[in-house]
Formats: sequence, C-alpha cells, structure tokens
Amino acid sequence: MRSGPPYCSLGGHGRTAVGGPLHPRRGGAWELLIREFGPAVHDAARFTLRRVLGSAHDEDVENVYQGVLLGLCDKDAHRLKLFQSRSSFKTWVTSVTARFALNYIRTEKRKGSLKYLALDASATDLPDRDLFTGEVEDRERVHRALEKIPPREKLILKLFYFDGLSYKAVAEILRIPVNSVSPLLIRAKESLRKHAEIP
Amino acid sequence: MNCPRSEQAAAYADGRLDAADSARYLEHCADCDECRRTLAILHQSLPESAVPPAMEARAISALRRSLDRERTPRPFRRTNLPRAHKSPAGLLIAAALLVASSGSC
Repeated sequence: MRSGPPYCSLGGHGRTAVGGPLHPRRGGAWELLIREFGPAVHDAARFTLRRVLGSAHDEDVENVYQGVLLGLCDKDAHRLKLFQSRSSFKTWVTSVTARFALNYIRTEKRKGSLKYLALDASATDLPDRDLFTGEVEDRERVHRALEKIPPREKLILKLFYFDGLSYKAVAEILRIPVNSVSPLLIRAKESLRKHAEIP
Repeated sequence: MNCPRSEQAAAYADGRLDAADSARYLEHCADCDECRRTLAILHQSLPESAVPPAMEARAISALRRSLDRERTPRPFRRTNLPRAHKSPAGLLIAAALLVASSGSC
C-alpha cells in the first residue's frame, strides 16, 4: 500500500509518466501538490532557517519554498521522479527542503552576513560544550583528530557539539536510550583527546 | 540537493532502512555535514504554520511560467538549417550528391 495521494506515485520506477497529468492546464495536479505539500515545504524552510540562523525572514522562507517547488517540477519533473517511495512523501519533501535550505544558507553565508546557531535551541542550557572553543591551534588539532576516531563516535560528537542537539535528540537519531548518550559522549571525548594529544 | 543520499535521510527518519543500511547511512552522516544536519532537522518536531496565500499564489504562477517555458517548442529559425542551404559551395555539394545518387539508381 502506497502512502500519499495518487500523484505521489509519479516518482520512482515503473509508475505513471509525469508528462500529461501534471500539466497545469490538464487538471492542475501541480497546484494540488503545492496546496497539499506546500505547507510541509514552508514549515521545513522556516524551521531550518530559524534554527540555523536564529531567525527566518519571510523573503528567505519564500526563496526556499519557491525554489524547492520549482525544483520539483523543473526539467520535466526530474527531481520528483527520483522519489522512490522509500519514505512517506511528506518526509521526503521535508528532507529535500532542509537540504535546499542548508545550501541556501551556505550560499548566503558566503556573502558574509549570516552566522550559524545550534540546531536545537533547547540544548543551549546543557553544560560542557567547550570542547571546540579553545585556542585556534587546539581547535585545529581537535578537528584533525575527529577524522581519526570511529564514525559512530565522530557522529555523536558532531551532533552534540556542532549541531547543539540535546541528549534526547541525539538518542532519537541514534536510536539508543537517552541514558546511554552521556557515557558514549564521554568515551568519544576521551578517544578524541587521545588522538588530539590534549591532556 | 547535491548529495546522492537525499532519500536515505527520509527513509531513515521514517524507520524504513534495515539495520545494515541504517548503519551505513549513519557512518556516512559522520562525514557528510549536509546529511547530518538534514537528519537532525528531520528528528525535530516542526511547528506547523499556514502558507501565506500570496506566497502560495506567487509559487503557482512561477510554476506555470516555468512549465509553459519548458513545454513551448522553440521557434523554427533559418539558422537551424543545414549550411548547404545558405552557401553557394553547399549548394554545389548538395547538387553533386543529388546527381551522384540519381546516377547510381
């Protein structure tokens, strides 16, 4: 059983051709798609911009919102055809929007006016987030050491320190109990200190 | 939209990757900032808000314009014709080919 409305079946293998049904003059399926999934795109755009930048200006939200929707229909719906129903259509659209927004932020950041904040605002109260804020030399050594530790330890450190996620959010992503996060973080930090040769 | 693993983030968030694929994906996230941040965003509960009607209307018209542009055939232009139609030398070659082909019948 496939989730989502009929036009969701347009993406992926062995399904309906996109050409006819999605032409706006023949039934307005694109409008329907915008009306049904536009809110998910809008919410993901606003959320990503707000969490990464600290605020979400309407102009930036609209740029991302419109960019994603146009990107889906562009080049004969090439992007939409990539959807293979391996997730719900809404989650996929949210994922696509988050990526688009991150790229948008990166492009804007290159212009020099934006700064990154923690993804998870609730995590800012947590103590001990100073591992990567020491002297420049230490930080560079730590970043080099990050490349040498096991991927799982690297991921948990990045989620906690770079993205500012809470223990609960880290646990949900890694699908582990919340009370396992702290010991894993301690072990990962020890491993990192060893490789970075920081006492 | 550059990482080829775009759909995997969604599949992982929906719990539709098996254990081996999940492990591979998480390993990839340890090195790919884009995937890791996407994963982090997908695991947060997004506050819902209505799309402003004017924003939605602008998106629909932009989409229509884009689709119309894609579906409008390019106008026929003389410059698209083979060069043989435009230069005397081309005409001579075309005529020679015509004679040769009629002679071989």
